[in-house]
Amino acid sequence: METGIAISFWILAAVTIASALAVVLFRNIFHAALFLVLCFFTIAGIFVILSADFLAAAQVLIYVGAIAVLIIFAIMLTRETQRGSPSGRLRLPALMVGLLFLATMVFIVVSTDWQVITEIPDQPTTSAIAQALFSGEEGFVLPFEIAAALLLAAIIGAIVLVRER
Amino acid sequence: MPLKTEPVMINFGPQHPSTHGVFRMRITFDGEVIVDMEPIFGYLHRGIEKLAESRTYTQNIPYTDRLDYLASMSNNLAYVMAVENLAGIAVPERAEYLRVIMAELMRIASHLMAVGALLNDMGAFFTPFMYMFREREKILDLFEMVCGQRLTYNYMRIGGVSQDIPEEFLPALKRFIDEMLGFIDEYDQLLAENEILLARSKGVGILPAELAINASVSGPMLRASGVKWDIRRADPYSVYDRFDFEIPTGKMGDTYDRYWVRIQEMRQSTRVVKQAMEQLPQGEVRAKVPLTLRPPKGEAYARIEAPKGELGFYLVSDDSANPYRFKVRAPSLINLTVLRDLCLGWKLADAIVIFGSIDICLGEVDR
Amino acid sequence: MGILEQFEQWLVNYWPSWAAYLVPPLVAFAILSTFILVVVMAFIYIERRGIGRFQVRLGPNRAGPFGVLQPVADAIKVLIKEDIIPAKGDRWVHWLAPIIAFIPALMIFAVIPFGHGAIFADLNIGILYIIAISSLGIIGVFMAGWGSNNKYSLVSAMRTVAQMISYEIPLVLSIIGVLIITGSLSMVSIVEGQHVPFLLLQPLGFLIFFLAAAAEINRTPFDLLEAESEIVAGYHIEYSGMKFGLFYLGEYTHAFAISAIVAILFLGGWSGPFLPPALWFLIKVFSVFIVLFWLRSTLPRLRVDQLMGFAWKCLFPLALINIFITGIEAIIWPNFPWQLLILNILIAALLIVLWSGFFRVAGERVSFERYGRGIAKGLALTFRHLFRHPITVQYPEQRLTPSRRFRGNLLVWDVERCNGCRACARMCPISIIDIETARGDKGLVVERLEIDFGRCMFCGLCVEACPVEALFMSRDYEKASYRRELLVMKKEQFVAAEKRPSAYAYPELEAEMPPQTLLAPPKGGR
Ligand code: SF4
Repeated sequence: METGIAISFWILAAVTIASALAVVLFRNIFHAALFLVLCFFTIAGIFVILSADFLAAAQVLIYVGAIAVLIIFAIMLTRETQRGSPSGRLRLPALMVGLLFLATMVFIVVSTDWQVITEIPDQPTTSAIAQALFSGEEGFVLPFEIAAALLLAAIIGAIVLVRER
Repeated sequence: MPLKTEPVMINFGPQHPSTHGVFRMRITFDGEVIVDMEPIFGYLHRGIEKLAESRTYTQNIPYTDRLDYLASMSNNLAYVMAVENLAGIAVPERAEYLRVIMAELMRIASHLMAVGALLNDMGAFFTPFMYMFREREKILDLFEMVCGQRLTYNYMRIGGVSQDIPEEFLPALKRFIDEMLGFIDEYDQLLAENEILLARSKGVGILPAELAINASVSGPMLRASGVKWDIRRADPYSVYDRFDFEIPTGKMGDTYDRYWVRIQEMRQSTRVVKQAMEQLPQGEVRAKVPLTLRPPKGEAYARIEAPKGELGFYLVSDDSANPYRFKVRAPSLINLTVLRDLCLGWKLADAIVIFGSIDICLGEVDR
Repeated sequence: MGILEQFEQWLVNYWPSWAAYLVPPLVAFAILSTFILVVVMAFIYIERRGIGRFQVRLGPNRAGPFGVLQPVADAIKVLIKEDIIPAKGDRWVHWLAPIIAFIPALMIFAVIPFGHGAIFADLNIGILYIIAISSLGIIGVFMAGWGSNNKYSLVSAMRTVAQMISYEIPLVLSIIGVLIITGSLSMVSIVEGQHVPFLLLQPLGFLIFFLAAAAEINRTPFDLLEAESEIVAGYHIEYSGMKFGLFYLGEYTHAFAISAIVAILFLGGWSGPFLPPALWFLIKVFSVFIVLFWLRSTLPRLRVDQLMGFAWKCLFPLALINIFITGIEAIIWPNFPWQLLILNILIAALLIVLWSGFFRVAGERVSFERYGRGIAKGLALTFRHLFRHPITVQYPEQRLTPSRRFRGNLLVWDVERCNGCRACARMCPISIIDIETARGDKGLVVERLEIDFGRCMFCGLCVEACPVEALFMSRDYEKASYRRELLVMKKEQFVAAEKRPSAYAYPELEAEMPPQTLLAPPKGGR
């Protein structure tokens, strides 16, 4: 069983990275978006391996089912998608930001002291997540509510922007 | 900040399930909203008007069957009336009554098709269509009994009708008329109160009375816009002045009104048929007219209230056996000319429904 | 412990552990897919026959007894068709789309319990998994719409996204009421927690879920993706052969899945008295499906903006209110006694009545003012038609007698009487009567007669023109041939042909003919 999980992890990881690369490298943005979907999906697979089933389902539901679909929708509404993404003036700054981000990530990964937990993860995870999110003392109620308010503000903002008078 | 999107042009047809034949609309969309539309017809053009010029007056009768093939009897009637006007032929009374019965049955059949097809355009999965077809089938059975055909009747003759009705016809007709009223009530329930149908048709594709008159729209479409104009009343032909019936009119001229007017007209038609059945006199059904008729020089126009509107035939005779000019005033074609005005600003799905509510028959539009 | 684990335990004794780990799921998967396939075929059969009866038709009844093999015949037809890929389409996307559309529908079944322990994997996030997975199918539809390089399919793809995203929300929210009552996401515990079917305890939730689910699987009145009368076939317009088959299969598999989910969430899953659990489950699934196609055979389709309006203005707020009410009830009566159902049904009715006032179309209050009464009447009408006689006939075996004056597709020529006057040839509007005469002992004799029945329009004018009653219409109505020239009748054939003259233009012949079959109203029916 252990080896099975290891094998699937490596496969998933490889596919994730490959598809992530495809997203940035493909010229046809519709294809790029499809690879994004694949990438999100394999990440959900990794969650499954980590016994985070709730998280995996949420990942698929939100990232694949909603976010990726919206991205594709936006692409379809854009003109001349077939020709690929046009090269803008912001190429260099974008590269800089990307490199910076990569450096940060690498730094964090290297500098973190990764600990392997020996205890079996909570099963089922649903109630544990609920506890963490909603319980008052050590939970994240405040950030959760703030995020909700922020999203609401964003929705209203979007409506105000787009509304025709 | 308005969001700009690219307009898309889509060709609807000529092969498309809801163009009721081979008709093409070139529609430009902004999202799903129609910003421009151009009806293109002519895909079914057979040159009937020209063909008719090289055939005798009697030989042309089967050709008129092929104009509006959903209302062949009415076409026959309008044509033979034009010839009779041209040659000054009197029609026996019994034949006039038979003509009225046939024309009104034809109106019911044609309206049934119109309503059924409209529902199909709205996306009902053929069920109302099949029910309507069933009732129409009963009418076709009656026609078959009289003239031996179910679609291209070729029943009217210059100076009458081709043959008298068989004796089982009147009982069958009576039974049909009795059933028909109940049928209309029943389906009025199914359709006229259906929330989805209301939502799809109320206020959609409004044809103002003024535009309708200016565009010379006729038939149920005109009446749906609130104009009380029916040739059976305005310019009575045949024996229509002897019957008592109402002319239903709509209020707004939207798709729902067009649908509603058709339903009401079916009711009125059953009334006319009932009266005609009661008054039906005995006697000849066909005046003595030579098969190869040579009307005197001159011209004649005859018009009737066909199911789809004012159907007129204009004939010019040069004293030979063939008409010199044979012109059809096709109601479908003229009603179709307002399509663009009705559709602009509506959605793709509405365009189909509006188009269906005009109730055209491509055989007549393109001729 | 589920059947799967028991199987695995047993296998471990004989096979190496990795095989024991892998084989049971594979076996279960094979069984499950076969089962799904069989049920889907049953669905297709029932729907086609059922809609036939709703539409007073016979429905397909040729393949096998009662036509039960019709789905098989359909499948074979689809399989052997040519596979077409649009030249300017996106090859890979076009190719992958049907697979991506189909697999999620299949994956849903992993967590559907067919009975006690008869479940592939009892995930404790069962229902969440289903929602997540079923949102994947859109991507397939989407890819199909894009990859086909067709404007109709693109429009369809756009509609898909709008519709799916909108209806997913009320769908998910309507389930929450159920979850509050059972306190678990697992499908098995949802079934076990249902002492009263949640249909009664959560009437509003059920309605919302049912409507939103119908929209998810593109059933009428929400079938805008396919919208035959508008965008022809929508996203799968450019598909043929097996790929089309996959879409078709996926659609019905999804319908099966949704019916199963409705049965589990709201109808008590496999539980029921007397009958075996699996049978109960199937009965419930099939009844849900029958309601779905009953709707399909009755209702027209909504327009795209009405569809969105319905999701956002009707279902969405109602779903929120439902959660709220259920939450309050959970605080006051934590065990949800069955008496609550009266209260809940009342609340649901009240809310629907209130809400219908808000939903307007084109400035007029039309759509829901009647609280769906018109729709209910329509449904009742189509239901009544189930019991009426079909109007179609089983053609070659069962024949209708045409009218006595029928103008059939041949002419009957009486040589004895014909005097060769050629009146018929002159009368024919399209001049297809080719007749040559010679002088004989008693006037003219016809030497050559040819009529092209491929062109004849059976107007009957030639018969009327005949002065000596030698030409008749025939009462035959079958004529087919693979070659055009076989349709041309020669003189010898006319003489030799079996004569079934019709009474057209000769009413005196009518007396001895059988009466015409009329489409009579069925007994009992109006
Ligand atoms: S039935 Fe009409 S078309 Fe046919 S041969 Fe006779 S006249 Fe010509």
